[in-house]
Amino acid sequence: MNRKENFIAGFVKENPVFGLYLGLCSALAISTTLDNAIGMGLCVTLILTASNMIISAIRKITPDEIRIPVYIVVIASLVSAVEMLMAAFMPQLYANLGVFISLIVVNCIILGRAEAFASKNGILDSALDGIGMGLGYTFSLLLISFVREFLATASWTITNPFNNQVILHVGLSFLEPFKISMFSTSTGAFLTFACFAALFAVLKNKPAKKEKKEAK
Amino acid sequence: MKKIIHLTVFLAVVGALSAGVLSYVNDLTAPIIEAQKLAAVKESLEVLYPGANFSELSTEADETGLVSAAYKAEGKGYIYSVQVVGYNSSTPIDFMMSIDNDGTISGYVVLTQQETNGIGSRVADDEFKNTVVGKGINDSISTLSGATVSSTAVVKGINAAKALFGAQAGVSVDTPSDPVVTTPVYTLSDDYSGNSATVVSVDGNTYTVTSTGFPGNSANEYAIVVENGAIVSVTNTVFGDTAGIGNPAVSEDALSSYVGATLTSEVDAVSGSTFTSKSVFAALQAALKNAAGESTDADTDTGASTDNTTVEGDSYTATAFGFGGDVTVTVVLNGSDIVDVKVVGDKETSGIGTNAIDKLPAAIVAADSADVDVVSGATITSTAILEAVQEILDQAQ
Amino acid sequence: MAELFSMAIAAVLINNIILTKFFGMCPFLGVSKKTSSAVGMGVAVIFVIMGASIITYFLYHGVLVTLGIEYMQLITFILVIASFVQFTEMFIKKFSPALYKSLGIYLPLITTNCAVLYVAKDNITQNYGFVEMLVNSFSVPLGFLLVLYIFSCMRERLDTADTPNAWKGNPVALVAAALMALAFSGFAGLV
Repeated sequence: MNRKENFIAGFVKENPVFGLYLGLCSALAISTTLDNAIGMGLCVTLILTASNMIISAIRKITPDEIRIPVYIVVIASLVSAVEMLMAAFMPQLYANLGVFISLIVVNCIILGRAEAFASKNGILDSALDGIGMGLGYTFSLLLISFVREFLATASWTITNPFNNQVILHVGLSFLEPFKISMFSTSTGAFLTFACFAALFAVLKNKPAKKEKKEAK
Repeated sequence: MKKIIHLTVFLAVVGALSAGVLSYVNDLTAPIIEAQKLAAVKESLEVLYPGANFSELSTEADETGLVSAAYKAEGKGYIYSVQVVGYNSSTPIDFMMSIDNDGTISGYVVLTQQETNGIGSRVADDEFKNTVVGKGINDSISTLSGATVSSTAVVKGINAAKALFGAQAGVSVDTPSDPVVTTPVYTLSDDYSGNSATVVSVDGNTYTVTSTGFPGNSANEYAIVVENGAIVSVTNTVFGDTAGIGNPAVSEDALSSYVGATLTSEVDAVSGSTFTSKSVFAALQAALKNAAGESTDADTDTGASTDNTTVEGDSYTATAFGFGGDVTVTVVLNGSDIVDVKVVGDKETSGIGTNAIDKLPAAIVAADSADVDVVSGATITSTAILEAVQEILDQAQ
Repeated sequence: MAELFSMAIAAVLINNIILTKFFGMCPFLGVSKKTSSAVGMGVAVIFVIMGASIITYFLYHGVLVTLGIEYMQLITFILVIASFVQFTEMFIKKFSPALYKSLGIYLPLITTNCAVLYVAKDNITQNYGFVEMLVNSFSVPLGFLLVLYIFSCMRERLDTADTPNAWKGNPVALVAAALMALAFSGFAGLV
């Protein structure tokens, strides 16, 4: 598999959220609005890329027996640092995402990629893998929140996390009376997620079937 | 062994490195986070000291733990954010107060409170605010009578803020004594009509009296012994007030303190259970007045419905409230035997209540008592008829 | 006492950790295919959360606050949880092989169960006293066990149901979870 394929795999085939069911807690909880999805997605991408690079860099000197604790310390430090930086520079986003930032530590995607990829590959490859997987995660969050925010509020809003100014606001006011506020609750999260999971199951199986046919 | 040392050292180095990085980031971001927190509360600080420069102070010197934040308004004074638990234990009373540099309390703002409306909530009213603002740090602040629990909590919070002010402004502050409770003086001749005391029964010199305490609660009942115009003993027989709050007012200690009281005596309310205490006073008053032969506002008759019954020879008439209106029952007695029963009730539902009016009289005559089964489906009308009959029988005896 | 009770009710039913906060989603989908494994996982989670919460509580108030290094909270907590899980596993393996057989396989999975870290952190951010902390650390995973058990019962039925191909497995289970969340939202006015 070349780098490009590797990079793209994170979006559909190996999509961490819909395909592998990783990092679900945050994916469901914060996907109420696009803002949160972007913020959380970029946070995870940043941490994932950095942790992949650091772990890849120290992979040769890390004793095998204690690699998991070492990974955990590296990831926890990165998360703590990002948490403090966000509290300082993006307070609104920090308040919205709340405890989910610190729970990135136990987000299976990060430890999973460290173990499965970064501990065996070079720094550059690991960084690309981190970005790809992170963007795949962001992409999934965006999909869910895109649907949920629209169904719950009949509009989309994106704000600049640094100064709280609205960058983009698309509202279809004639749909306002039909908005379904249930989609901002946990029920809506499960429902939206279930639909996407089914959709991705179809997408994932399609190419496989084609190959089979060709083989015949 | 060498391996273990290697592993430990490696882990320690990783841990130390990350601790170093984090402490650097922490140093970098802590002041910014601090500044942002200040910006968030600035609006409420501006209310107390408009246009001042604020900086946050530590609240470590506060021993009570009630002061959650302290701010210094440059050149003007200090602001304290205080949370105290009053009557509502789930939502604390959250208030801010400012103390000028010269030690005068210059502002008091209640931010949130969920105390009982009209009672504890008075700590947020101007009446209480005016007793706080303008006081010096060594003046004591009175609590509100009738809202003792809430206001005592607030005063404790104010005292904590004062003590912290003393430490931070370098002023010596007297250790405030516990909140001064201004106990209003009650006498048994006061007006307690709000408690609607009723003498339910009199047995010798023992009076059974009901009276309500906290508005909306059910009535308390007391057995009161009166001799020569003074109370000999008081016991609480039925307690209908708020459990846990009103109880102290009817404790044996509290009640025994009223022994010897006369209509002109001054009595003490139990602080924190003022409402229930007042119900005791109302009951004492009713018993004393009754003993003195005065009629109280309350209806002291034991047979509550005598007026209701009219007698004409052997024929007795009584009314009772049925489903739609009064049901009038006329009973003809021969000695103690029921000879005839007539029921008139034109307000009862036709086909339902009228069923009872049709059927019951014969049943009552047959049974020779009011102890007959109600007509099913017409229970309310039946019960009314039977009540009226019973009343007549009681009366005739 | 009444307060602690309503706190427990709120943690179990109203603010259920899975259905309203989505913590512990991985085991929720992963080990809910059989009722027996769901109960095993639930019990193991109660045990680990209780243990880890008590340790982190004392560590935070005793060490981190005293030294003024609250920012090391996350690292400390996650290491405590990881090693607590490891020790528990070793301990059970040695002293009760039967228990290990039924619980042991779930233990390693718990390290990455965000519910554990969440409860440990929540006890600190909510400023709980010791007793409140104990109640919270027991009732939150109890809610986890309850929902996991109900969910596994539904999944056993779903397995035999005729579902479209794309919806087989997790997607249809998620729809069931959505309905369950809707049902649990009815508890909202309880306390």
